[in-house]
Amino acid sequence: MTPRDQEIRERLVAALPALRRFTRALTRHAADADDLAQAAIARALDRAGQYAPGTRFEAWLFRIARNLWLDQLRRRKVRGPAIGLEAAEHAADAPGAGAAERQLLLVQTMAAFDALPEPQREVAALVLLEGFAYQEAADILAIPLGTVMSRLHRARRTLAERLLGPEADPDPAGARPS
Amino acid sequence: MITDLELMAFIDGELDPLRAEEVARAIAANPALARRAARLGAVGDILVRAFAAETSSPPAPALTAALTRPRRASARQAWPAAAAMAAGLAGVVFGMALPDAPGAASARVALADGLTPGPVLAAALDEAPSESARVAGVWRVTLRTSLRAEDGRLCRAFDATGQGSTVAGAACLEPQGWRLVALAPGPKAADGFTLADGGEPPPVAAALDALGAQTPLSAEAEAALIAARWRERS
Repeated sequence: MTPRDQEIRERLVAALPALRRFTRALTRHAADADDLAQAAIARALDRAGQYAPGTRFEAWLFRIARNLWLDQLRRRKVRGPAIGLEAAEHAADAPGAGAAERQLLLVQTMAAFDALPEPQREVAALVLLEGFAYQEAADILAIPLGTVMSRLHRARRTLAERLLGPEADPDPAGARPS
Repeated sequence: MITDLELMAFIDGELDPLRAEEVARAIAANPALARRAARLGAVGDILVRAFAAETSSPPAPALTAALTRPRRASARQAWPAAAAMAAGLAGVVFGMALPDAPGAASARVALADGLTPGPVLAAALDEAPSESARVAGVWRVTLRTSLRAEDGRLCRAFDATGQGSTVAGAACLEPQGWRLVALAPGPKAADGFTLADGGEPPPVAAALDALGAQTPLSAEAEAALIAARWRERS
């Protein structure tokens, strides 16, 4: 194993939690997410020489994962969300407290996220979960900065309505929907 | 005037410092604007917590294995190469100088128990009905049969062609996912694997025999398992 390989491996280990979040966001399915992460790791190791030192490693890795995912999407029809919104809403009616409520919020949140269109999911995953700057997300996804912002905004509005309920007191003088 | 997009950019730290300061003052002075900002910000916090819980389970064993596996010549050769190496059959690397004579194949039985199929094969095992083929890159994986082994495991026999060569094998479902129980090189074939009498090539047949009494799955049972991603109701 060359020192370069070793370095890539160490970075992959460090990036694994972030990679699993990102692949979960793309695939909407825990098992598929690990499959995709595994394929991305294999490809990253095969192409270790293509990583440009000094650039953000996760950005390089996520691009690999996303390209693999797009390949898969082209090849097969993808399953729907693992948990439908209806199921989550139904579950929310059940009584519960403490850990159970947290579990419900988790289920609701993942269901609401999974119900977002794919372009919004990937932008939200990059910016909200991984803290990429808008421009970094735009580079990873190869889309304009303005598109990142509008997709992120739509994703946030939808999630806020589903998870926090309708806005109580919109103030037209303070902020305008754009 | 502060638009929703600007408010979002403020929360994400994307505004230039001058404008950010103006927005911060406006939020301090306007409770409705503050509520709106809090809502937008809360979405990110909720997502972070949900994803942390969602991905807190240990990664699949194959995923951590991928990090320690020796580097391969090519990702596409992953599963046969790994299988051949693990079985101590360095010469039987898929896509490399397989023997031309079909008879030589049987001498190189690759009984590769406990091996994880690669992504291409795993996807075919998961999703392809029997007697249908999945094409991925240079690979064409054809599922032959699904059956239940004596010990209760669900198993599938398959063959795969790519780069002018053919391998045949069988995999059984373990709690961790599909595991190869047999993998053997077949004769060179232009399109698909030609099976005499509709049976498996001898090495794979031998491996299947080792599974004991077998019950073939009906097409309906197989379709139901594919739809359920091979998770059985217990």
